[in-house]
Formats: sequence, structure tokens, C-alpha cells
Amino acid sequence: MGQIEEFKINPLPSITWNWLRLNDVNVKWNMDIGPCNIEIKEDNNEKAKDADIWGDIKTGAGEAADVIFAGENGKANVAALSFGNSDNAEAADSNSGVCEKVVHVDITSNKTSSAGVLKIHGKENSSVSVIETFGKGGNGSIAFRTLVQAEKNSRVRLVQIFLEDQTLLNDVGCVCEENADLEVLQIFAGKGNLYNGIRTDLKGDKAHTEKSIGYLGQNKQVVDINLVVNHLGKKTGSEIQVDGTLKDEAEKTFRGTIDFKNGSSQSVGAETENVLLLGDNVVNKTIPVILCAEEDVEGSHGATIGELDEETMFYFASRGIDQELAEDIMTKGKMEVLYRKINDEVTEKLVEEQLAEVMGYDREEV
Amino acid sequence: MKEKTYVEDIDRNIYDFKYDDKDAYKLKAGLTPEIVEQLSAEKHDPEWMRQFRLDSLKLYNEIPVPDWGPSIEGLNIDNIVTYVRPNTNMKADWKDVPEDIKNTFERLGIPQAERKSLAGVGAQYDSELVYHNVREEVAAKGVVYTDMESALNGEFADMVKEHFMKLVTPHDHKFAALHGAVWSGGSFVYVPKGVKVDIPLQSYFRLNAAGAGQFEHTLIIVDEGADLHFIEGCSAPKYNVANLHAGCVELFVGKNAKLRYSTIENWSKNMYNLNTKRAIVEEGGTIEWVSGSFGSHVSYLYPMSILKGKGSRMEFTGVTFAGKGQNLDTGAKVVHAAPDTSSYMNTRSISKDGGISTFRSSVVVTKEAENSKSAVSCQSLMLDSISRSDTIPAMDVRTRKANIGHEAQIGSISDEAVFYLMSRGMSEEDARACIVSGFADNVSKELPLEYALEMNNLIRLEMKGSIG
Repeated sequence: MGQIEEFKINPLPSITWNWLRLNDVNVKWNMDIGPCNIEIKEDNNEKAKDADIWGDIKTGAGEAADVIFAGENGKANVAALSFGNSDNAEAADSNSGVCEKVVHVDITSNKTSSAGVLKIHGKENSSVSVIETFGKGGNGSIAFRTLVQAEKNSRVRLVQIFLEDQTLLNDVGCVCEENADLEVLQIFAGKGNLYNGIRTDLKGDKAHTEKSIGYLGQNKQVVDINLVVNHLGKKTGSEIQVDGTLKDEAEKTFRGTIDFKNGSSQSVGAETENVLLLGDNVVNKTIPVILCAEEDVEGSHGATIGELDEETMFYFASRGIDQELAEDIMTKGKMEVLYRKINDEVTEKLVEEQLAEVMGYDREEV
Repeated sequence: MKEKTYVEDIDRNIYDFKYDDKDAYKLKAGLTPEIVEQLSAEKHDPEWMRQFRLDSLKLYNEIPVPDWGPSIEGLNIDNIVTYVRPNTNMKADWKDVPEDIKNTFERLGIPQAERKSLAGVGAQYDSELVYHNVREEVAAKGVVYTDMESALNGEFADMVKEHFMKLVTPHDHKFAALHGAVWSGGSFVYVPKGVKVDIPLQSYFRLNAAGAGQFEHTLIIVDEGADLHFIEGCSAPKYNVANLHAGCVELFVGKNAKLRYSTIENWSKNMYNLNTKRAIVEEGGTIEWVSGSFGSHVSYLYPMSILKGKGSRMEFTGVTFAGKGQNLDTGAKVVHAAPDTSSYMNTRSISKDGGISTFRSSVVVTKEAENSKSAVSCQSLMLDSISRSDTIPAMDVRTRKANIGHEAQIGSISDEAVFYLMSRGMSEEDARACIVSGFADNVSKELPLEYALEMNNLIRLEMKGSIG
């Protein structure tokens, strides 16, 4: 057993009453850290140089987590991907938004405590989709940091699939330059706890990001999410959609911040969260924050939290479907809407099978 | 160059006058056990209250300054005079009130409002009530409306002791502890079972002395099936030194009772307004808050409702206008602690001229609060890019059988809305003025007409330019 240290991570950029215990989260971490396995399945990438760009990228978990990923001993496994160049870039299909280049990255660990870092550099005009899959197995904890630098006119798509049984600290930091487009799709269907920090700085004018997050929390799982989008450039845009289901004694915290910095005129940010509560002992905490220092912007957020409404229940009942099955159908349906967006048949099947396992049903039944 | 739409700042002329306080009795500035003892002796406190004050002072020294809100660095408690007694006792007739003090309240329109539309009035000048009166027909129904000092030492002493700072305890936060140590003035209201008070009661708090603090305590008990509308107003002239307001409001709403608590707050821009308000609502009871925050340099104000009884409900309607030099952190808190409870918050905030407006809220739904509903709606309007407007709403839900909704919007004056109004014959200036005025309408429509007019006068939106 290594030395256990306690950190406060996932800090809310603008804190509120301490008694709500929403300003950050305490995690205890085994500091006897070894490198996790990072398997990049397609090897036709130009390796990213360890240039200065990475040091400027801040992440959602916050600086307190730096010691896990780097620290004095630097035990985390570090990998890097770089795509395109100014002369010969993989351009996005401007009509479909589909990225031409798709790279699969499998992240696994059989150690008690492990860590890894992946740096993704989307060069000017490039287009890439990186699908990170956090595999099953293990019984310890894994910390993984993904840094994304999306240069001018690039399109980067980051898909993160969480299937692991162990506690995961997933820490993402992104910077988008002028007209860059970043999509992040996260699906959490694992059995362990998830601490998830994502920060995006829309630095360049017309930079845009879309975030879609889906989770299923059950048993005594903890799901703690800190999502921050900083609008710095003019005419920047952000769309955030978080959908989840909580069962049994699961506990979820969602901190979502849209921050319109001074100078981000004509920017638009929207955030919605829907939580389906299906357990008698669930805990759902939500704090959707909008910070605004610019006049000419539009920001909005909305949240709905509760069990299935009477109308939906009546619909199912009138078709002979009992409450338990109706709830399973809706839970799976919410996740399916998201995992169908992956646009990768193998990965979609993986998620589908995982959901069947964690929800305990045969696919034919539901 | 296009001239920007300009929204005039709040016209404070009607509030910004002052009288010399040479005849008043003052404690020396600062906060020590000796000063608290001296204040307690001045107030003729019973022994339990003296000890309560000293215990609260101890807590004040132990509890840290909040780390989450606007900065209060400019407030030095060592420079604040915690007790200023005006040169008069409390009167029940305006003609007996000293001329300068009477003039103050005349200029604020309090006696006129009393004659026209109030069931009773309490007027506090610095640390003490100078006038208190309740209409005979209201008193005949058993309604008690008196100053806190009389209640503490009179026939309602036991009732006061039973309720005083039980809802907002000195342990709550630093400024609740400060209030516990140095409170003075304020009103006590008791509405007996089944009594409906048809027209409102009003307390008005005026702070005249420079560098002073006002720490009034309002305790209202609305018994089973009773109904009351209570209005609170406050203002002060502007000084170059910091003034402090750390009042406390405790509201006990009985079974099937209803209380509406309206506040038009217009402290001067040197004021630190660190106020605490809380209501506890029994089965089937209703608390309604109507809150207009216009003044102060810094405000921390979040009326809290504890829905303790089955089927109890809360509504909060608020507007905040933050102009130059103001950092107004306002909002509301609600705890659903029983089944079938409901809450609704509806707020608007406007920021201009470098003003900072923050909407902060919390909705807590406990495991016991099955079939509860809550909806929060907050809208913010930014009138320039040197101001700030933040929304920080929190929700903590611990039962599946709840229906919780939240929506917020932030933005500027919509060009589409301006175009729509102009297409119907309005000038651009009028269209913009109409939109900004209408934005705060949610609060003014909840107030009695006289107060709605006062609030509209406060906002006094003057538009010019914008064409070209």
C-alpha cells in the first residue's frame, strides 16, 4: 500500500456557500503511482513535439491534480498525437462534420495506482477524431489527463468511453484557436467512481465547442463532474448537454460553468442538464454557473431533475410495461442517444454490451 | 459613432440628506466585551440576553470572514459605532418626535403612507425606534406590533426568549454572531390564530450617523391560519466612511398561515449590507418574499425558507440593480424538509456602470420531501461591458420523488425586441426604455401600488441616444 494523499480537485471557478460542499471534491489518492498502458492502435501519426504549448493548457481537475500526473517523480506514462500540417491537412467534411482521421486509444492498468497523459495536437486546418476507451478490469485507481490543442480552423473530436471497474480521475484541458471546433463526447458506464474535470478555453475568435456527457450511476458510485468553458474570443460558441441516470445509492455532482470573459462579444453559450432519479437513496447535486463580464453575449442554462413523469409512466403502463422495465428502457434510451453519436461501430457495440452488463439485462428484453 | 443607450443611475436625491447627530448618545467605536456589556446595560437586557450577547461576541471572534462572496476588506469593525441612541424615546404620535427626525421620515413619506395605506408603522432612527404605532382596529384583533425592547421586557418576554435567534443562530455565520452581540431596535409582531391583517404593517430603518452600524432584529410570529403582509424599507445618506447594516429577520409561519415579507432596500453606497433573513413554515403555510435591492456598496442577502410542514410553500420574487461602485450578491435559499412542499424563485438583475450583480441560490430537497416541486428562474441584463453579472444556483436533491427545474438567461437588450416594438410605432429610445423598465416588472407588480411607484421612482430609467 503506497502513501495516500488527499487533494481537493474539480474546483468551481466561482465558489459558493461551503456548507453545500460543492466548491470542490476531496479525493484520497494512492501516490505509489506507476504508468498506465496507453495503446495507440493506429500508428500513422506524426508524433507531437513536446513544445511549449502544453504548459499553457489548464485542466478541469485543477492544479491540485498536477502532482498525480507529473509530480517530482513523473511516473505517468506520456503519449502524444499530432495531426495535419498547414500544407497537407486532413480537412473535416464541412457538410457532415465527420473527421477523416480516426485514432483509437486504449487505456488500461493492472496496477493499484497508475497515471497517464495523452497530448493531442490538431494543427491548422486538420481534422481528427480520437476515441479513448478506458478498459475494464483492475481494482485500484487510474488517473488520466488529455490535453488538446486545436489550432486555427482545425476540428478535433474527443470521444471518451469509461468502462472501468476502478476509480478514475479523468482530467481534460483544451485550447481552441480561431475558428477551431472541438467536440467532446463522454460516456460513463463503468462500475467504479468517476472524477471528471474538463476545461476548454475558446481562445480564438469563432472557436466553438460541443460537450455531450452521459452517465449511469448505481450502487454506491460517485460521479463528480467539473466542466468549465471559458469564452475569450469574439463570436465563440459552446453547447453543453449532460444526461444521466442515478439509481440505488449513487451520488452525483455536476459543476458546469460558462464564463464569458470581457472581450468575448457576440458569443453564445448554452448548457442543459437532465437527471433521471430512480433510486430511493440517490444524491444529486447540480450547480450550473454563468459568469459574465461582457454585454453583448447570450448565456443560458436549464436543468430538470426528477423521476419519470406521470405522462411517460402512463404511456408505458398502457402498453403493459411495468415501472421497472419502463425505467430501464428510459435509462438505456438516454445513453443510446449518446453512444450512437460515436460513429464507430466497434466502440458503440462495446458500450452497448457494457450497459447490458451493468444494468443486468439481455439486449433482447429491452 | 453610435451613441449607446444610457440608463440613468438610481436617483438618490430623496434619500441623501442628513442631520447633525450631536445630541445622540453613542458608544465608542469598535467591538470589545466591555462595549457589549455597556450596550446590554443601556438596553436594560435581562441576564440571559446579556450572556447571549457575550457568547455571540466570542463566536464572532472565532468565525472566519466568508471566503466566497464580495470583498468586505473596506469594512473595519474597529471603526464602526455599534450603538447610536437618538435624542428621544419612542413615541406613538409623530408630533412628539423631535423636529429633525420627524422631518427625515416626512421626507421619506412614511407618515403619509401610514395615513393612506398601512395598518401600523415602526420607524427606527440609527439604533432605536423613535416611533411605533398600530391602528386601533388592528390592535383590537389581538395583533401585537411593538419594538423589540418592549417585547423583550414586557408581557411577551417568554415568547421572545423562545424564538429569539433560534432560527438564525449566532453559529450561522460571522455576521449573525455579530448581530447576536450588538443587536438593538427592530420590531416584534404577533398575529393571533385566524386573524387576517388586511393592510400591511411597515417598519422603516434609517441610519443617519456616519460610521455607525445598524443591527435591528425583526421577529414575526404568524399563528395558525393567520395572514400578514409586512413591508420593510431602509435608507441612509451617503458618507465617505463605511457604514454597516447587519440586521436579522426571523419569521415563524404557522399551520395554514400566510406571510408576505416585502423589502425595498436603498442603503447608501458606503453601506455594507450583511443581512440575514429566514422563515420557517409549518404545514400548509406560505411565505412570500418580495425583494428589491438597489442600494449598498456591498450586499450579502439571501432570504432563506425552511419548508418544515407538509404542503408548505415559498415564493421569492426579487430584483437587483447594481450600478457604479456596487457589488450586490443577492438571491434566496430554500430547504424542502417535508412532503408535498413547493418553491418558486423568480429574479431579475441589472448591471451597469461597472456594477457587479450576482444571483446566488440554493435549493435543498431532503429525503423526507417526497412529491416536492421547485422551480427557479433568473434573468440578468448587462447594460455595458465594464459591469459583471453572475448566476450561481445550486441544487441538492436527495429524493427521487421530486420535480426540480431551473432556468437562467443572461444577455443584453435584444435588438429583435427593439425592432418588434419599433415596428408597432415606438421610437427606438422608447422601445429600449420600455424593455428595461419591463424587465423589473416582476417585483413592482407584487407590491402595493404606493410601493410599486416608489420602486419605479427608484429605478428611474432615463434613456437617451441609441439612434444612429
